[in-house]
Amino acid sequence: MMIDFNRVKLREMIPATSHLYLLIISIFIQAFGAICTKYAAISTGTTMFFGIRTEFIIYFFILGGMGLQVIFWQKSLKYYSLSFAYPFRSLVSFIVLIAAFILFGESITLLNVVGLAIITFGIFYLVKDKEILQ
Amino acid sequence: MTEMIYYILILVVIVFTSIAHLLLKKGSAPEQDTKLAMYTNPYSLAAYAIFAMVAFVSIYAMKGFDLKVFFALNSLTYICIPVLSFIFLRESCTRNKLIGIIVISLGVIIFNF
Repeated sequence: MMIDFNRVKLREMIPATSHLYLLIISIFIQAFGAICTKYAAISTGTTMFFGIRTEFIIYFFILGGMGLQVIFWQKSLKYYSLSFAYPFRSLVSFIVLIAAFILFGESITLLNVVGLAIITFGIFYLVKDKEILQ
Repeated sequence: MTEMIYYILILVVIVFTSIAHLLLKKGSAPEQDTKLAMYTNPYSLAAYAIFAMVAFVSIYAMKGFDLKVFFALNSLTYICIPVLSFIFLRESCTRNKLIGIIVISLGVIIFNF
Protein backbone atom coordinates (compact mmCIF):
# COMPACT_ATOMS: atom_id res chain seq x y z
CA MET A 1 0.00 0.00 0.00
CA MET A 2 2.78 2.35 0.98
CA ILE A 3 4.58 1.89 -2.37
CA ASP A 4 1.41 2.62 -4.34
CA PHE A 5 0.90 5.82 -2.41
CA ASN A 6 4.44 6.94 -3.17
CA ARG A 7 4.07 6.16 -6.86
CA VAL A 8 0.96 8.33 -7.10
CA LYS A 9 2.75 11.17 -5.33
CA LEU A 10 5.72 10.91 -7.71
CA ARG A 11 3.44 10.97 -10.76
CA GLU A 12 1.76 14.09 -9.42
CA MET A 13 5.11 15.79 -8.97
CA ILE A 14 6.51 15.05 -12.47
CA PRO A 15 4.78 17.87 -14.38
CA ALA A 16 5.95 20.35 -11.76
CA THR A 17 9.57 19.22 -11.85
CA SER A 18 10.04 18.36 -15.55
CA HIS A 19 11.41 21.82 -16.46
CA LEU A 20 13.51 22.17 -13.34
CA TYR A 21 16.66 21.50 -15.39
CA LEU A 22 16.25 24.96 -16.98
CA LEU A 23 16.39 26.60 -13.56
CA ILE A 24 19.36 24.47 -12.50
CA ILE A 25 21.32 25.31 -15.69
CA SER A 26 20.57 29.01 -15.10
CA ILE A 27 21.87 28.70 -11.53
CA PHE A 28 25.10 27.02 -12.70
CA ILE A 29 25.70 29.77 -15.30
CA GLN A 30 25.09 32.43 -12.66
CA ALA A 31 27.65 30.77 -10.38
CA PHE A 32 30.09 30.60 -13.32
CA GLY A 33 29.59 34.36 -13.83
CA ALA A 34 30.24 35.06 -10.15
CA ILE A 35 33.47 33.01 -10.27
CA CYS A 36 34.62 34.86 -13.42
CA THR A 37 33.86 38.22 -11.74
CA LYS A 38 36.05 37.22 -8.81
CA TYR A 39 38.82 36.19 -11.25
CA ALA A 40 38.49 39.61 -12.91
CA ALA A 41 38.68 41.34 -9.52
CA ILE A 42 41.92 39.59 -8.50
CA SER A 43 43.52 39.65 -11.94
CA THR A 44 46.77 41.64 -12.02
CA GLY A 45 46.43 42.61 -15.66
CA THR A 46 49.86 41.33 -16.63
CA THR A 47 49.08 37.82 -17.90
CA MET A 48 48.47 37.17 -21.58
CA PHE A 49 46.70 34.34 -23.40
CA PHE A 50 47.55 33.97 -27.13
CA GLY A 51 48.46 37.65 -27.25
CA ILE A 52 45.22 38.84 -25.58
CA ARG A 53 45.13 40.17 -22.02
CA THR A 54 43.42 37.54 -19.85
CA GLU A 55 41.15 40.21 -18.32
CA PHE A 56 39.46 40.78 -21.66
CA ILE A 57 38.88 37.05 -22.03
CA ILE A 58 37.32 36.99 -18.55
CA TYR A 59 35.10 40.01 -19.38
CA PHE A 60 33.98 38.15 -22.49
CA PHE A 61 33.06 35.11 -20.37
CA ILE A 62 31.18 37.32 -17.85
CA LEU A 63 29.14 38.99 -20.60
CA GLY A 64 28.52 35.70 -22.40
CA GLY A 65 27.48 34.13 -19.11
CA MET A 66 25.02 36.97 -18.44
CA GLY A 67 23.47 36.51 -21.88
CA LEU A 68 23.20 32.72 -21.54
CA GLN A 69 21.85 33.06 -18.02
CA VAL A 70 19.05 35.40 -19.15
CA ILE A 71 18.04 32.90 -21.86
CA PHE A 72 17.70 29.99 -19.41
CA TRP A 73 16.19 32.15 -16.66
CA GLN A 74 13.46 33.45 -18.99
CA LYS A 75 12.80 29.95 -20.33
CA SER A 76 12.23 28.75 -16.77
CA LEU A 77 10.06 31.78 -15.95
CA LYS A 78 7.86 30.63 -18.83
CA TYR A 79 6.93 27.55 -16.78
CA TYR A 80 7.39 28.52 -13.14
CA SER A 81 5.89 31.26 -11.01
CA LEU A 82 8.33 33.99 -10.00
CA SER A 83 7.55 33.45 -6.31
CA PHE A 84 8.93 29.88 -6.73
CA ALA A 85 11.78 30.43 -9.20
CA TYR A 86 13.45 33.41 -7.50
CA PRO A 87 13.88 31.86 -4.02
CA PHE A 88 15.06 28.66 -5.75
CA ARG A 89 17.96 30.69 -7.18
CA SER A 90 19.47 31.00 -3.70
CA LEU A 91 21.03 27.56 -4.41
CA VAL A 92 23.70 29.54 -6.27
CA SER A 93 25.31 30.22 -2.85
CA PHE A 94 25.92 26.48 -2.56
CA ILE A 95 27.94 26.29 -5.80
CA VAL A 96 29.77 29.56 -5.13
CA LEU A 97 30.74 28.43 -1.61
CA ILE A 98 32.31 25.20 -2.89
CA ALA A 99 33.97 26.97 -5.85
CA ALA A 100 35.36 29.71 -3.58
CA PHE A 101 36.81 27.04 -1.32
CA ILE A 102 38.42 25.00 -4.13
CA LEU A 103 39.51 27.77 -6.52
CA PHE A 104 40.29 30.71 -4.24
CA GLY A 105 41.04 28.98 -0.94
CA GLU A 106 38.32 30.96 0.86
CA SER A 107 37.22 29.62 4.22
CA ILE A 108 33.88 27.93 4.86
CA THR A 109 32.45 29.10 8.20
CA LEU A 110 29.98 27.30 10.43
CA LEU A 111 27.40 30.02 9.68
CA ASN A 112 27.79 29.32 5.93
CA VAL A 113 27.02 25.63 6.45
CA VAL A 114 24.09 26.31 8.82
CA GLY A 115 22.70 28.96 6.42
CA LEU A 116 22.93 26.57 3.45
CA ALA A 117 21.25 23.76 5.39
CA ILE A 118 18.35 26.13 6.21
CA ILE A 119 18.16 27.31 2.55
CA THR A 120 18.00 23.68 1.34
CA PHE A 121 15.27 22.93 3.87
CA GLY A 122 13.29 25.96 2.60
CA ILE A 123 13.68 24.82 -1.02
CA PHE A 124 12.22 21.41 -0.10
CA TYR A 125 9.14 23.28 1.12
CA LEU A 126 8.94 25.27 -2.12
CA VAL A 127 9.27 22.22 -4.39
CA LYS A 128 6.60 20.38 -2.37
CA ASP A 129 4.10 23.05 -3.43
CA LYS A 130 1.74 22.07 -6.24
CA GLU A 131 1.23 25.67 -7.37
CA ILE A 132 4.74 26.33 -8.60
CA LEU A 133 3.71 26.14 -12.26
CA GLN A 134 2.18 29.35 -13.56
CA MET B 1 24.43 62.13 6.23
CA THR B 2 26.70 60.64 3.56
CA GLU B 3 25.97 57.18 4.96
CA MET B 4 22.28 57.83 4.34
CA ILE B 5 23.00 58.14 0.60
CA TYR B 6 24.39 54.59 0.49
CA TYR B 7 21.28 53.23 2.19
CA ILE B 8 19.12 55.06 -0.37
CA LEU B 9 21.28 53.61 -3.17
CA ILE B 10 20.87 50.04 -1.90
CA LEU B 11 17.13 50.63 -1.57
CA VAL B 12 17.13 51.70 -5.23
CA VAL B 13 19.05 48.50 -6.11
CA ILE B 14 16.57 46.26 -4.23
CA VAL B 15 13.41 47.95 -5.55
CA PHE B 16 14.59 48.10 -9.16
CA THR B 17 15.95 44.52 -9.16
CA SER B 18 12.51 43.40 -8.01
CA ILE B 19 10.73 45.46 -10.67
CA ALA B 20 13.08 44.09 -13.36
CA HIS B 21 12.32 40.48 -12.38
CA LEU B 22 8.57 41.17 -12.43
CA LEU B 23 8.91 42.68 -15.92
CA LEU B 24 10.99 39.68 -17.03
CA LYS B 25 8.28 37.33 -15.79
CA LYS B 26 5.66 39.33 -17.72
CA GLY B 27 7.88 39.24 -20.80
CA SER B 28 8.29 35.45 -20.56
CA ALA B 29 4.60 34.63 -21.00
CA PRO B 30 4.19 31.24 -22.75
CA GLU B 31 1.85 32.36 -25.55
CA GLN B 32 4.09 34.31 -27.95
CA ASP B 33 4.36 34.36 -31.76
CA THR B 34 8.03 33.54 -32.23
CA LYS B 35 10.75 32.02 -30.07
CA LEU B 36 12.64 35.31 -30.15
CA ALA B 37 9.60 37.34 -29.06
CA MET B 38 10.28 36.32 -25.45
CA TYR B 39 13.54 38.31 -25.50
CA THR B 40 12.53 41.25 -27.69
CA ASN B 41 9.18 42.32 -26.25
CA PRO B 42 8.97 45.70 -24.44
CA TYR B 43 8.74 44.06 -20.97
CA SER B 44 11.96 42.07 -21.40
CA LEU B 45 13.82 44.98 -23.02
CA ALA B 46 12.79 47.30 -20.15
CA ALA B 47 14.00 44.66 -17.67
CA TYR B 48 17.42 44.44 -19.40
CA ALA B 49 17.75 48.24 -19.28
CA ILE B 50 16.89 48.26 -15.56
CA PHE B 51 19.45 45.49 -14.88
CA ALA B 52 22.14 47.57 -16.58
CA MET B 53 21.16 50.62 -14.49
CA VAL B 54 21.14 48.50 -11.30
CA ALA B 55 24.65 47.22 -12.10
CA PHE B 56 25.98 50.81 -12.21
CA VAL B 57 24.15 51.88 -9.05
CA SER B 58 25.47 48.72 -7.29
CA ILE B 59 29.06 49.77 -7.93
CA TYR B 60 28.43 53.11 -6.17
CA ALA B 61 26.44 51.46 -3.37
CA MET B 62 29.29 48.96 -2.77
CA LYS B 63 31.61 51.89 -1.99
CA GLY B 64 29.63 52.44 1.20
CA PHE B 65 29.28 48.84 2.35
CA ASP B 66 31.43 45.77 2.86
CA LEU B 67 30.76 43.21 0.16
CA LYS B 68 29.15 40.77 2.56
CA VAL B 69 26.89 43.45 4.09
CA PHE B 70 25.90 44.48 0.57
CA PHE B 71 24.90 40.92 -0.28
CA ALA B 72 23.12 40.43 3.04
CA LEU B 73 21.02 43.56 2.46
CA ASN B 74 20.51 42.52 -1.14
CA SER B 75 18.94 39.27 0.05
CA LEU B 76 15.88 41.36 0.97
CA THR B 77 14.96 40.70 -2.68
CA TYR B 78 14.12 37.12 -1.62
CA ILE B 79 11.21 38.55 0.37
CA CYS B 80 10.46 41.54 -1.85
CA ILE B 81 10.11 39.65 -5.16
CA PRO B 82 7.68 36.91 -3.98
CA VAL B 83 5.53 39.50 -2.15
CA LEU B 84 5.38 41.72 -5.24
CA SER B 85 4.53 38.73 -7.45
CA PHE B 86 1.68 37.79 -5.09
CA ILE B 87 0.33 41.34 -5.40
CA PHE B 88 1.01 42.32 -9.01
CA LEU B 89 1.22 38.98 -10.88
CA ARG B 90 -1.58 37.44 -8.80
CA GLU B 91 0.52 34.33 -8.13
CA SER B 92 -0.96 31.96 -5.60
CA CYS B 93 0.25 32.50 -2.05
CA THR B 94 0.15 29.02 -0.49
CA ARG B 95 1.23 27.91 2.96
CA ASN B 96 4.15 25.81 1.62
CA LYS B 97 5.38 28.71 -0.50
CA LEU B 98 5.22 31.14 2.43
CA ILE B 99 7.10 28.77 4.76
CA GLY B 100 9.68 28.08 2.03
CA ILE B 101 10.28 31.79 1.33
CA ILE B 102 10.61 32.70 5.02
CA VAL B 103 12.97 29.77 5.71
CA ILE B 104 15.13 30.56 2.64
CA SER B 105 15.37 34.27 3.57
CA LEU B 106 16.46 33.27 7.06
CA GLY B 107 19.05 30.88 5.60
CA VAL B 108 20.43 33.54 3.23
CA ILE B 109 20.80 36.04 6.11
CA ILE B 110 22.60 33.47 8.30
CA PHE B 111 24.80 32.43 5.35
CA ASN B 112 25.89 36.04 4.80
CA PHE B 113 26.82 36.84 8.40
